[in-house]
Amino acid sequence: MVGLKRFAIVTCASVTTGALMISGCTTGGNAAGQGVDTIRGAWMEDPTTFDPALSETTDDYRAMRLAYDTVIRRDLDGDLIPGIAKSWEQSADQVTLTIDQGHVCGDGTPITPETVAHSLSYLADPETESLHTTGIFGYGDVKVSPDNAAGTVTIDLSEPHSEVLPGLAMPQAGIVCPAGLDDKEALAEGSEPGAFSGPYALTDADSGVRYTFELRDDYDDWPEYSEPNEGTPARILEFVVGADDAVANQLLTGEVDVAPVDSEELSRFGGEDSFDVVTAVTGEYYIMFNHNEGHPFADETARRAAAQVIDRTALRDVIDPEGDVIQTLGDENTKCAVDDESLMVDQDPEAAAKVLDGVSVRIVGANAIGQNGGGSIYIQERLANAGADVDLTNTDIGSWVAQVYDEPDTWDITLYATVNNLGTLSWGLSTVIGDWYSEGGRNVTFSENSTASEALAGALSAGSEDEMCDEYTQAQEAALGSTDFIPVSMVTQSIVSRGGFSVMTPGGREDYTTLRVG
Amino acid sequence: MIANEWTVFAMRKAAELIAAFFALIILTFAIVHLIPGDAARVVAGIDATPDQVAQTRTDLGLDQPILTQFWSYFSGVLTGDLGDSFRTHQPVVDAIASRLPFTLSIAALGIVITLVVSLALGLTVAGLTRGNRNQWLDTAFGWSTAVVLALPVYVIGAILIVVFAVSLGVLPAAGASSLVSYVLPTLAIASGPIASMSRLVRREAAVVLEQDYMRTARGWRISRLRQHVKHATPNLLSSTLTLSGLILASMIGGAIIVEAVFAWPGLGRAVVDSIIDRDYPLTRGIILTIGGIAIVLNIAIDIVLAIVDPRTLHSGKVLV
Amino acid sequence: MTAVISPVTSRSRTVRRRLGPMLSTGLVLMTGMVLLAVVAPHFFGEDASALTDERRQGMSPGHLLGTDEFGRDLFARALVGTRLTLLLTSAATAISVICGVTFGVLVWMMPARVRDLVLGANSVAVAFPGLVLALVVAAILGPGALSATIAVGVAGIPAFIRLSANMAAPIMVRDFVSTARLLGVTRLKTLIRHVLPNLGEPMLILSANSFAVTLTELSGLSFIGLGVQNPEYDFGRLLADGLPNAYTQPIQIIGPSIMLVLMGGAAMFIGDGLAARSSPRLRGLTRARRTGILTRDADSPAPTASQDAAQPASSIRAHATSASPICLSVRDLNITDGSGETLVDGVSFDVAQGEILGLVGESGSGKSLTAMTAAGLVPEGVNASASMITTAGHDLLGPTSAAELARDVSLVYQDPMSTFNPALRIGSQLTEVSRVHMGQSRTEAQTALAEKFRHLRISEPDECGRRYPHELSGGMLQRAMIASALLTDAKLIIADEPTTALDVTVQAEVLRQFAEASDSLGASVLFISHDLGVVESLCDRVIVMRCGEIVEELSGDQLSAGRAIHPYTRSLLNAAAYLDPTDKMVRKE
Repeated sequence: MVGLKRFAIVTCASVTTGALMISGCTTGGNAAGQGVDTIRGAWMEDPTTFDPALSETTDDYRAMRLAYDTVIRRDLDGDLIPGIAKSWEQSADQVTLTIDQGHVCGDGTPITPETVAHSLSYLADPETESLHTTGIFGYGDVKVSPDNAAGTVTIDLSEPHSEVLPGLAMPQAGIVCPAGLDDKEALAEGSEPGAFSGPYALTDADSGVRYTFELRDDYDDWPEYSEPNEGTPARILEFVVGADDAVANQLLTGEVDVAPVDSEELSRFGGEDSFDVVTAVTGEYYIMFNHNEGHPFADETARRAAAQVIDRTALRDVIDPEGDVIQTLGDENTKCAVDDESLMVDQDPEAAAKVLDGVSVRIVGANAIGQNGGGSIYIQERLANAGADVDLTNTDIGSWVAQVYDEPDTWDITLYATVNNLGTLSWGLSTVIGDWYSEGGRNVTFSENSTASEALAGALSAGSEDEMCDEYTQAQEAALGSTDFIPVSMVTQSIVSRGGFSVMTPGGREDYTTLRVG
Repeated sequence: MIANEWTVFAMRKAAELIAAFFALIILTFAIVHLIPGDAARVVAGIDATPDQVAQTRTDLGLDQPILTQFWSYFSGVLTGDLGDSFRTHQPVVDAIASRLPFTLSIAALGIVITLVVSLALGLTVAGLTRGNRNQWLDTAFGWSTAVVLALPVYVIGAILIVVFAVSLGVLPAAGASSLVSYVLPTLAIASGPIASMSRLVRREAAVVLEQDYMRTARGWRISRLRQHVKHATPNLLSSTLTLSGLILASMIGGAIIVEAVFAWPGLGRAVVDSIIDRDYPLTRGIILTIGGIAIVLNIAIDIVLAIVDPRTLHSGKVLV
Repeated sequence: MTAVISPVTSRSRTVRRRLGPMLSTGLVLMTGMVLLAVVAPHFFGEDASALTDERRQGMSPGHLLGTDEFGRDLFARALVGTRLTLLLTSAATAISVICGVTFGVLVWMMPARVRDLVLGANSVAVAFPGLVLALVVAAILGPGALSATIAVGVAGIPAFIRLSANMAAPIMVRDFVSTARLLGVTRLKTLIRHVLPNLGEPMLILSANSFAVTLTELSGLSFIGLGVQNPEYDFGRLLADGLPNAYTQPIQIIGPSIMLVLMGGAAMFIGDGLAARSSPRLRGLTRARRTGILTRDADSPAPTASQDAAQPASSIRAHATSASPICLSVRDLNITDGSGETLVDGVSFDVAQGEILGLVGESGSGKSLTAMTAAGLVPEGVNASASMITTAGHDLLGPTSAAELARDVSLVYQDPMSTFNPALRIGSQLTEVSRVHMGQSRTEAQTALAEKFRHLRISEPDECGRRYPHELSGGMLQRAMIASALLTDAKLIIADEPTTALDVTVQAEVLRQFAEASDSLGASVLFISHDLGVVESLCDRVIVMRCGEIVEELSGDQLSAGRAIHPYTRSLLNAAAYLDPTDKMVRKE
């Protein structure tokens, strides 16, 4: 049920390269207003680690953002802004970061180009077995070299990769200070305060119960957003674990100050002036087809027919009423995203019925997508309406992901969702075009669209933004032209804060460091 | 002779204890091997290469012969080492230790409330409906307990939250941040047991109240309260105690759901999380803990019963 | 308490009477559920599954319980869900019953040691949280209706193993089974032929209860996401789906909640109804009239106690020791049972201070009812009225002081083994009056009791109070009870066949102490017995009762001289003659 939804979502994040997250963030203070120095929030589950490179769940990312600063940040509109690096240069196979002076670690050690290089080398090292290495640096060898004299860090890639900068803005690319790299065990436990480079230090971790962070006295490196973040950072951040089912009640009773709330429950806060709602974007919903031979949707006409009966707006209303309907795997904040309604297939149930009548279709669905698995139920109903003989399996996210990835023979169509921390097109696109998952890539649909796949590869190795966008446009048009997938809507998460507390969503993403009192 | 009886009894209980624990260890060991899906694959992550998966499998010991795995599990259990969580890499023992007090506290509070309330309620109803008086009460009692029993605990929990937290605002809706936080989860977890136990007490009390010794007590013209508390209650203890073992077990089961409703940081929620996360060491650690508690409680209740009612010394169990 | 069938000819009423209200309510509800399960999908299937644009609507004539997020009619869904719910719950219950009973019976095929071990382990399995076990099974098999059913079914097995093994135990050692074995019938055949049929009723009761538990456990699995999966739905699924909307659209959970309550309630009522039928102690408690009440006769004015004491009823005045004040006075006592039948009809008598009055009659003659009513303890199931009852100076028809009455009137009952509370120590019981009503501390009361024990020459008087009733003989218990009368300086002792349950040799000693006790207290005694021999040796005066009326009154001397007139008394005397008459020496001087 609801409980499962949350737990499931975390697993999804941990198991897939992307997945959705619905719950979020937080802030707090008891009475709101003056004198409050604690913000109380809610997490879904225990963080699995405090080592950014090894982080893999939604709550990990939340914790990483608090405890570790990244070299680059995102502005409110998604533009890259300075973090630990004050400026940067990028070419196809090289990124040079100029490190801002004056940042310090939790133990007082200054953050130097060498500190940054060590941390990034650790992230890039295959031995680290980080899930994020390839997403940030691509598939080639990575060499990170500091120049203390020039105050720069240079990242050299053996294979061109155009998404290093957005990658470095992700919380999982947080800079770990030397004290943490020296003691990986303490780093993972979060028990070494010297490892932290971010504004908050973990002070108390009560597994399954509560995590407490304290603002570092010496920290004054808040990112400069295009609009100022009003209010005072809380001295203490306190996150209870597993409250997801109850957060709406707890917000209303004042037990929690800031928390993500299901879209269905938002109406409970609607009439109240004393609550603020901000909506963060976390990824994309889209329909995946199994293109493998012998599956009904290997045939392009069948995929078109499915698109002809599935009303994306209606589906959006079922799964995530707060999200925008999208024409590709990104929205207007996503670089190089096409927004071309003409690439979409028009509704035509009659034409679809001619193709789908009597076709047997197996849907696998996650009961966390849409309330009570509503997304898959909608698809089932539409396909059945067109005469298809539909079999629907709705399960928890863990089973669903395992089935999608590891049992490709057992499904024909699924409604998918990503956690796109990278905020780029490639994150979603590479799951439906490009190299197959079974052959070391990320594409789980067995699609064969060489035009689209080559363009995607071209975009990822582009030397300039213009070149990248040309290639991305070509990839999107080719994939959408043959209905390789059906984009649906953005995955959103609405964060409710009680009066007196606020939070912002830089780049549309949740970010706890923006929590403020007053 | 008496010492001898107790020796036999103690030995039988010890044998039961050992057999049950052994069965439990086998059961929890088997869970991991019966659950579908490749544990190593899940732990390594979907993005992991086959090499990484193989490495993970070795790290987890899943490539060892099954007997070797069992032996290392078994010896681990005996030495209090339940391995590390797949998910958080934290020792399972630590993860359990931080949650156990929360589950035990609401279960223990729940059983105390259940015993007190259902003895009082069952006896009162039995007393008031003696000799077919107050039939309306009999009917009301039958229906209301049936409703409470038939309603899933999560609905009862939701009702409690709506009434006491959201509408009245007198109690916290969720979490375990303060002492008052215990009230609603405890009430929710005890609601079903109170209903079933008070039905039992009412049934037993109806019989007890008709006994000659209760007529004797009435002959002394002592207050009804004293009649019930001093003279009737001791004769209800045997059956209520026997049932309370089962009820405690059902409370730990109920905790799984109640903890989800109230965001209670206990073992029940952790076991559901762990199953969905495929965190096998944690799953079996918690099942082992819950099962172990059930075993120990069960035996403890047998011993208490044997003291309270020495007839059970020979026959083992009282039939519920 | 005779169950009285009212002459209603309606067949359904008769069935209802025979089944009892609980069982018939349960059966009616369950039949309704089964019918619904059969027909609902046919009539409401379309409304229940069709997606419409009328999403998340409230209550309306078109949608009695509103609609869900797909615009499906929730009333229809609640009805249609009955089928799957009933199927799954029945299937899971069947798994528990069949596997449990099979194994529980087969366990008797095992060698004794193995059986003990298996049953010992099983008793632990019974206490293992069912939902946790179900969770494990559901996780192993993957989520879904089938695995949830198996999971809950398996979790319920241990309870049935225990029940059937326990039920089989006495049967397996009963004589006819041994005989059967001698005749060469195999153990298995014995089990099937003799054990299984005896399992029927308790098994039905447990199954009904198990059905109710299964229902909630299945819905619990749905709640945590491991039960029935969408698009299939049972009540639990519907409820779990609606629960997230409980705060915004509470109507979503009403339909499935009501259905769950009705179905679970039906099962529980069937179980309770069956249990009530099988337990004779509970059977017949179906009459709805209040009993145990003592009222003043409507047509007689309330006489003052003094008037009445001064003017005893004429029929017995002559025999009363005119010099002594009256200790107990009863006038026009009528006792009726719950249905209005008369059990005691206009009985009047007096007991003078210090007098021992015997009240004699067959069982059912109303003598015990009369005595208990005279003590102010009208039994359940009957009602009493009288124009006067004055007991040890207390007008029982008006407000009385419980403390004084308890002190002044002491009771001794028939069967000492059942009149003592088996769970409490003797001393704790016998000092109730002195502690509660006389304000003595526990120690004072215990010391005083030991003193009275000593007085009655009870062995180990200081230890006796610390014993439990089962540690003492019946005679000792009765003597201890007499001691409690001494303890409170009772003015009236009402003894209801105090020696009947005792050994003849013990009777004499107890009777002697009775006489001594009343003598030393100067107390009156109302002594009820069916044994004229006993009465004759003890009593100053005897009243003979038959069918609720006094038929004759005799002095002790008249009785010993055999001067009874009424044929009924004579027949009683004749019956007593065959018994060894109790030694005359106990007779009060």
